[in-house]
Amino acid sequence: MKPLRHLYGPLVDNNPVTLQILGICSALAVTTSMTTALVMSLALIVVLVASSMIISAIRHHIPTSIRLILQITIIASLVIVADQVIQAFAFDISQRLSIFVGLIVTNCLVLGRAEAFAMRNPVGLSALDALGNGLGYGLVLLLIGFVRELFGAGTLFGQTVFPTIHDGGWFTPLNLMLLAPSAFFLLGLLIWAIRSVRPAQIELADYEISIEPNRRAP
Amino acid sequence: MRGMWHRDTVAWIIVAAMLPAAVTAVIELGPQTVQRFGVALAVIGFWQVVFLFTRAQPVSPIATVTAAAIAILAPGATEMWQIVLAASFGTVIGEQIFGGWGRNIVNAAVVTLAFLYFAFPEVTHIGTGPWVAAAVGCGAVLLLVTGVLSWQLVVALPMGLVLATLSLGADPAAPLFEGSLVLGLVFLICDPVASASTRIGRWIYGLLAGALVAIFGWADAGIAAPQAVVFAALLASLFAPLIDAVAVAVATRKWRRVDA
Repeated sequence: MKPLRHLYGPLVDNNPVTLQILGICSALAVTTSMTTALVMSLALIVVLVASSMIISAIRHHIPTSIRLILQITIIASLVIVADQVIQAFAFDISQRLSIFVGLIVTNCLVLGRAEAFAMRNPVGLSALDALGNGLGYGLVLLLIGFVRELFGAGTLFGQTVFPTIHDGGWFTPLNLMLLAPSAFFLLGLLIWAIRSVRPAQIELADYEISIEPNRRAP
Repeated sequence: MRGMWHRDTVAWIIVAAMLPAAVTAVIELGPQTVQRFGVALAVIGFWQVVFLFTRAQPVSPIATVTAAAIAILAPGATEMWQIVLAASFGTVIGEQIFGGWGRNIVNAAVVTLAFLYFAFPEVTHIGTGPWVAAAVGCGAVLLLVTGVLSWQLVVALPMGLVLATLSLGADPAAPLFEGSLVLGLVFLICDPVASASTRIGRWIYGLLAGALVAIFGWADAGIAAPQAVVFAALLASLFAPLIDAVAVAVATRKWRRVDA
């Protein structure tokens, strides 16, 4: 049972996006539609699991002084492969994802798992941890993508759910949902909701203002 | 008179100052304004009660001012669900999550209006005329006499506005006759909560906000449209804490030098 904690732990309790606030850039950029969010999540999961397994397998042979260069080289090679595969088999989606598959290299989530977990754990555990974190990232992306595509365009995976008034239906699309700020608001509301249900995730306040109970403003 | 000045005294004074402008705007924009005001007030009141019960944040009569500003500065919003959505967003994200009125960084009406302008760009909003500007002027005098409106802002804001207008080569007297613009200047930009609160900070804040209104007005939305003043208020109030922090840092550094 214990190893499975690495798989389900990052889904909510230690979610990379909502607790560690990593991978925000891509989470904002690719969530305007479910399709791009799903492809991005899959690409990240593949890269993350493969890189974690490779780094974990050779962890005893990596000199500490150049470990970051090695990790980045491995991750970058895998990202190039993933990018080429998406370009070969789903060119349309690759165009819509633009630079963000390539930017998985700089995603703190991938390097973070390599540095914090894969460097000091066996291959099996590293794969589970990477898969859990990838799924946690994908879960948040799909949730935000769901809300943004549904209310921003009235569709899900490109299929019409709410017929918009442009096509003679009743639904007025909320243009704000397709702009980047809405992803910030949705992510903030999601974090708020999670921390209301799980108060253990709330960080300690940096400082507090104390006011005597009978004090009135001057 | 001791103990008379607390948060809601200030809120009631702002409500009183808003009254003449609200009446004039209803006459000018028509009875639909009352409907928008009612819907916005109901929504804001609902959220205030929700936060009263969940977080023990006291309700505030400032909801009336916020609702009036929304009703007057978004005359194109004829669909009430748009107002319900925007006012919910504005009052929760702009005010209640910070701890209620008095602790917010940006004015709730500004957030609501910016949401309306961004989310529904196809709706056109018209400005109001010189009568509303005159009515706002009466309210502004009340605010100034009671000290809710700081005189530094009243001087610095038109200074920034006129200077930027002149440098853009436009007529510096024109903004004075735009009701929506003057209302935004007094109730949104000079909002005592969201504006800068140090003495030097107010001068800088006023010049910045005035210049922003002129730039947005003359170069983008049109000086008569309410968009210019709302976006200027949003941007300027985000800078207010930084301006205050700099003013405090400069002042304390000066004290230390005197001590040494």
